[in-house]
Amino acid sequence: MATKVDFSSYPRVRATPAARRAARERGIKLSEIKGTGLEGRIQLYDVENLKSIEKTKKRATPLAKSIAKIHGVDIEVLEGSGFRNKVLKADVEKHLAEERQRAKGKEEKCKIIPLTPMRRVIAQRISNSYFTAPSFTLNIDVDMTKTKALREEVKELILIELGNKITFTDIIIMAVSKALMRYPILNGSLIEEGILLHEYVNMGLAVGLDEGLLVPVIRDTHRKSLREILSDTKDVIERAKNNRLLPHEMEGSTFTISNLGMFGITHFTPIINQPNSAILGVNTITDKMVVLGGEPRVRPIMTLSLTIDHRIVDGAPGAKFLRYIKELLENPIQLLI
Amino acid sequence: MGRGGKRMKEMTYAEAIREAMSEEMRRDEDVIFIGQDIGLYGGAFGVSVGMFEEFGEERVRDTPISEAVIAGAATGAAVTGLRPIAEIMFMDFTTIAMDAIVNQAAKIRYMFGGKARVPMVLRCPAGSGTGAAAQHSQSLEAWFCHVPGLKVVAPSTPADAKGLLKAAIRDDNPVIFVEQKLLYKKKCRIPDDEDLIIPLGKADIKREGGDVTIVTYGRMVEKVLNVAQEVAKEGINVEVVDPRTLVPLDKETIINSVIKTGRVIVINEAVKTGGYAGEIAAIITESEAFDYLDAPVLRLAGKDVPIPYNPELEKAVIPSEGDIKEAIYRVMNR
Repeated sequence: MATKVDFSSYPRVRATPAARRAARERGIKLSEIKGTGLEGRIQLYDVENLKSIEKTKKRATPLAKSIAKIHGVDIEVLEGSGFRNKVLKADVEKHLAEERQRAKGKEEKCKIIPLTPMRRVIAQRISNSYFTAPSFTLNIDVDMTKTKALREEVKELILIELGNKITFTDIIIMAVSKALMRYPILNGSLIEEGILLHEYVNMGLAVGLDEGLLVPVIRDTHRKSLREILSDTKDVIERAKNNRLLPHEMEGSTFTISNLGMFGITHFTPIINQPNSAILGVNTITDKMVVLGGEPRVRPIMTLSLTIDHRIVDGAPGAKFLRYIKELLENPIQLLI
Repeated sequence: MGRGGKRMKEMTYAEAIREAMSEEMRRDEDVIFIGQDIGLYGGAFGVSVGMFEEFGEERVRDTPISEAVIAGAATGAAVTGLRPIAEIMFMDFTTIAMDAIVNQAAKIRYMFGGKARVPMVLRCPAGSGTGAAAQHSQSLEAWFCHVPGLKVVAPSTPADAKGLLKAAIRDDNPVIFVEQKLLYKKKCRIPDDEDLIIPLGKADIKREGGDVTIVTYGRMVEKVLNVAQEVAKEGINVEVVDPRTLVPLDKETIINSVIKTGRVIVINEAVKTGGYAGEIAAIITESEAFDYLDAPVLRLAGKDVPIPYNPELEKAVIPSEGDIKEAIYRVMNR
């Protein structure tokens, strides 16, 4: 028979494993919680329903404490990198170094913006792409007269039916997807075993935000209708702006488009979104004087800037691909075929 | 018509076992059936009624009253190419067959480096509740779970009994098939399907719930389901996991369920000390489910006494629906 034990005399806290896990994850000290279970045992419920979580004192090593004391640093504001977030000597020193930087910045009328996690990822991915892929950019001028006319023609219909305005980007996505099916090498990825050719197009679309850049992916654009592309594009751009994209919605692109036309940019050299083999930069449409049949004419002209990973794609195939996109946009009726 | 458009029929646990054996014997002429009074008499519990007439005395064989002979002959027949089903009329008498089961059947495949196979099933009517007293009422499955080389199955419903027995007969290893005697008359609708095979080692979630996991098998499943229905009215949702096969055990299903609910009770009819419930409890506390436990892992089992002859006392030593309810309240902190 089990004898009755007086738990109040035990120095250790009585808590269930689940309560211990929850407390650990939340950084709560079990000794500060009152248990409602048998014999005062702390249950998961007690941790999850802790009303006023009193800030627990930061744990720090004695050395960290004394260094902090000498420099007048408040341990509580530091982030601990030790076991269970214990503040170490290194954490205090890092803090002091940052303080010095900040002070220096003040003197020189500069300030330091700490990198956000997003900025950090962008920095890492962009340098990774830039320093691994030897790339070059091809530019081509496209006469947008017919695409413009097409857009005008379907604009009202689409607005009535979907409540959305059709953009040039939507039509360009459609044209590029079609071109990628004809030139699959531009839709490939360099992997360990060779060049991975995708039999579908997942279109990455660079979306600029105040705090950085997101590239949501619109799947299977090679077999989507204009209205499907349009609603998908609207949807991901909207959610990208509201920070509502799920991680998997930003993965798996096979090609990427970046449009800076709305800022009046005439041409640029985009950086490839790895592991894609190329990226298409879309520029502004401007009325330009061109010579057609010996006559000067004013036509809406748009430059497309294609950056290519030269490890996979050479100049000629890249140029053919770009020329085909030009053909499609200059005679958009071909998109129906 | 039942789910998935399959025809369903109602049958008892005993009929399901008979049908499984008969179907397998029709399918494969190497399958034979031996045991005491299983032939002309139709089995002590009527399980094999009609089989002697259908398959004849060569394939449905009455044996002398010697469990050592039954288990020994089955092992020998299995090694030499047949697929015997042997019945030990009361699991209690496996004591007499132990050498053949533990030292021979379980070992042969390993000791001959896989060159010999022992495809046999030992059907063992077991458990209390029939007023048959201490020598005819035991649940000894833990003994066999302890011996590597044996598989142990303990179905709780007619459908499980049929599907698992067919899988056991087709298995190339010795299988101890535990049939609780009180289940023989339980009826349920089962798919009318000759290919109803339930693979060994796959648990079944008999009821889904998010508050407490109860792991149990055999006759206790029905009791637990009754209690689960009752406490659901009080807002306690019990998940009932029936491992069905004790060896190999579907640990994953059990552990995942405990991670989900954070509370678990393991129940078996066999006596508590050294029972299989203890093994399952230990597996849970060793697993990644540990950090999700919000109550001690409870065992509910038979009392550590020989089964009494007095019917009231006999009931009292086995976990009752009241005991199960109380255990649920305990882990729920109510």
